[in-house]
Amino acid sequence: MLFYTFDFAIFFGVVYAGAWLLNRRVVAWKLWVLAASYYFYAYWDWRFCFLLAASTVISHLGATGISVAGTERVRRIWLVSSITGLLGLLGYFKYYSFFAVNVDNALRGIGLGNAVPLLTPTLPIAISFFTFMAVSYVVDVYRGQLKPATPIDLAVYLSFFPHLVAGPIVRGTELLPQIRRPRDAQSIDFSRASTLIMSGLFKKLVISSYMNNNIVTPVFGSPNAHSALEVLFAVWGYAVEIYCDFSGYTDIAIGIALLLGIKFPVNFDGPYTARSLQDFWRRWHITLSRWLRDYLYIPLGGNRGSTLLTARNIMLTMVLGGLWHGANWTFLAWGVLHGAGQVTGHLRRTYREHRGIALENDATFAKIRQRFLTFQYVSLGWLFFNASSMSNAYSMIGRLFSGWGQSSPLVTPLLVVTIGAVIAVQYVPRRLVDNAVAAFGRAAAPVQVVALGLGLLCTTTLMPAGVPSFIYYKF
Amino acid sequence: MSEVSTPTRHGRSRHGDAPTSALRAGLVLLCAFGLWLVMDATVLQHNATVQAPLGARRTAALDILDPLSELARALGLDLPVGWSNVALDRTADGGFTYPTVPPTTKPVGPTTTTTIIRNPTRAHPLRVLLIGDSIGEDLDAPLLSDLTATGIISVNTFGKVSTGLTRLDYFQWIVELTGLVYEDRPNVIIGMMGANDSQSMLHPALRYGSTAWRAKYLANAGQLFSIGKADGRKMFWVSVPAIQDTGLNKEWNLVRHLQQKAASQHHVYYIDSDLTLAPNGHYAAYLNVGGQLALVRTPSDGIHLTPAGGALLAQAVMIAFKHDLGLRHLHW
Repeated sequence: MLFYTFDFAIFFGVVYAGAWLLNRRVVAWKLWVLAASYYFYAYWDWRFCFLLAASTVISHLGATGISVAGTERVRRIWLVSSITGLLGLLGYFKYYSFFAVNVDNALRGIGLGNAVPLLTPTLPIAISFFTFMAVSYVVDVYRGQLKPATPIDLAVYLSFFPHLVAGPIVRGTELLPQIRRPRDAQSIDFSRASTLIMSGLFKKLVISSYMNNNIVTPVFGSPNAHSALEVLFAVWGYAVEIYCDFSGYTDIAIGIALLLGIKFPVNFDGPYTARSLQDFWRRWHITLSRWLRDYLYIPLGGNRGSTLLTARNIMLTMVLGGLWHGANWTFLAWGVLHGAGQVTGHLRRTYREHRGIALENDATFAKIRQRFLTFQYVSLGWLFFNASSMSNAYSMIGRLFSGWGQSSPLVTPLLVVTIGAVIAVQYVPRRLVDNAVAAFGRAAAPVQVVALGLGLLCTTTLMPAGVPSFIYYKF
Repeated sequence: MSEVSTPTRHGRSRHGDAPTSALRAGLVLLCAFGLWLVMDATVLQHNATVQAPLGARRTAALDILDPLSELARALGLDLPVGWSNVALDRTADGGFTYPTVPPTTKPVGPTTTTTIIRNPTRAHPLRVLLIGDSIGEDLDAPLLSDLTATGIISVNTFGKVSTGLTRLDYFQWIVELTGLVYEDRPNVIIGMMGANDSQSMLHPALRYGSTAWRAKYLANAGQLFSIGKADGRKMFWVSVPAIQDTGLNKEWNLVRHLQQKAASQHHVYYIDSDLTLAPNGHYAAYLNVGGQLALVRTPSDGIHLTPAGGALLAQAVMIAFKHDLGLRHLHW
């Protein structure tokens, strides 16, 4: 069930009414939200619900086992076995095809073909997200940062429909306390919620779809048939598309949760204003970045060892972060690119610290240069991220050098202005945006009705006939 | 920053927004949704009429939208959306517009001559038009690359997802192709569609698979092919491949059969995609591509082609293309 469909509007209307009617009855509220979330998930394929339930059971067994274990060794066994179970499910559904094809090809090379069954498991939507949340829950219990939740609390935490499909990746410490007590029915952050939902819908339905249909899909589909300028704008266009698509989705998710009285962490913070790759990862998919930091980078050793070990940890974290998106060499390349960039940045910072040089050059021109270069580097990463294969990525890059001087009908003034506007808007001071949201919150109800109705009308009128599905649904 | 900031962990947002009760918020949302529903009712009604498959869901939607669109028209509330749609090159109710073709559809310039087909050059390239639905678009991208790589073929593509030759009330491929042919003056047309065709027709109302449906579908395909073949053009038609869902695949067999029959009647070169994508006579997710095993169909639906599958089928089309046009020295 997509957020921007009629089906979801009706579904949410019913869930909203039921949730607030049952707000004071904590157990009934949980059961209602749990049933709604499983219905929401079953709308794609009811069989996936068993997978979600299995992840919940594994997490619960793991957390309970950890909490009752008498020795550290037994606690560790529970931790490892439950994480192995969770990642095993993810691994089978997400990576089996990639594994089978590559093993089969390798074995054929030495005359041992057909050694691996060639199955094609359908990737259950949302599996990466709820697996990460389940892992963080078990690890937090192991670390003593969280007490084991009751089965129903855990089930609501993992399946809560606003975050279920594509995040944000919410931690147990953030969500579990909110579902254990009634929410304040007299104090909904409505202006923020409705503004987030409207901006998310506009970003996804209008801007992201426009980029996808008009430049990204045609050029990435056959780069050799397009000019270098079109390839360049397709790469920038994809940077805009994926930002509007993913941040649009999480804006809607955060807004919907707010309407139900639940607060999610922020997931994007003007990522294309970043001055370095490290800065970019503090602004892009923030909940994944901190997950990777807390559950991968730090356990690997973080920056506690030598410079070389730190570089290894950064690289490993980014490579695994790339492969989290899927089993494809292009995601690996994306991870390596970001890893290499971050390692370079780390080495540069270490060098400057040792030499007593200021870490950042804050001159205006330097800031502009840093932001421009960071955006270009991130865009290069997106080229690999969106390419269907490495040869497709190489074709795109090759075309950037060989396709100049040809006509570029896809690079229209509207396209250029849209790309520029999406990037420029990220520089608008937060204070101005917050003031506008607050002003909307103080407006009379009829004004709010008209503003929201016309905003929705504007979005549905400007959106194209074919809206591509959310990019992160496939992860 | 541009993002609307989320509230702080302490609950109240940073800038002292006025808190709203759940009841008030629900009512504002409901009224806003209602306002949008009325103002957009004519478009929603049109979409429900032409896009939704026949059935209870469509009937229920129209039962709600018919009076709302009447109300919108009576109050003039449909006008802003109508004007916007016209400005966006759609019909006032959000439908597709088609290229206008003069009454006499004599081409402006040369269309097809044997000389161009036999001896295309960079200066006088062979003009190829690719058309299709979503599965056709899976083929179009690699085929466009292969054709362009020859250096002597110029390509235009036109794809429209969720369309086909059954629901011409939703998207009129016959009119669209007439306009495309007039505008682009292709020498060759390559088409692939049919993934959305195993359904009943609305205008006229014909149940899928009935004798009348078969006759009408054959006529639709024949009409498309006759436009494609007019003025001495060459036309290639690629069948929809076997799919994972065996029940649906049986339904598609009728579509394949009728398309092949129409192609035969109109001397369109019919390319059976199953010879490439289902070499053992049934659906295959993995195939050998260039000596390496590759996933050729998307696991999520078992219908669409992966880039590797599209490239494999494009190779088969290129071979047929080269052979039928007698372009012996064609390389890609």
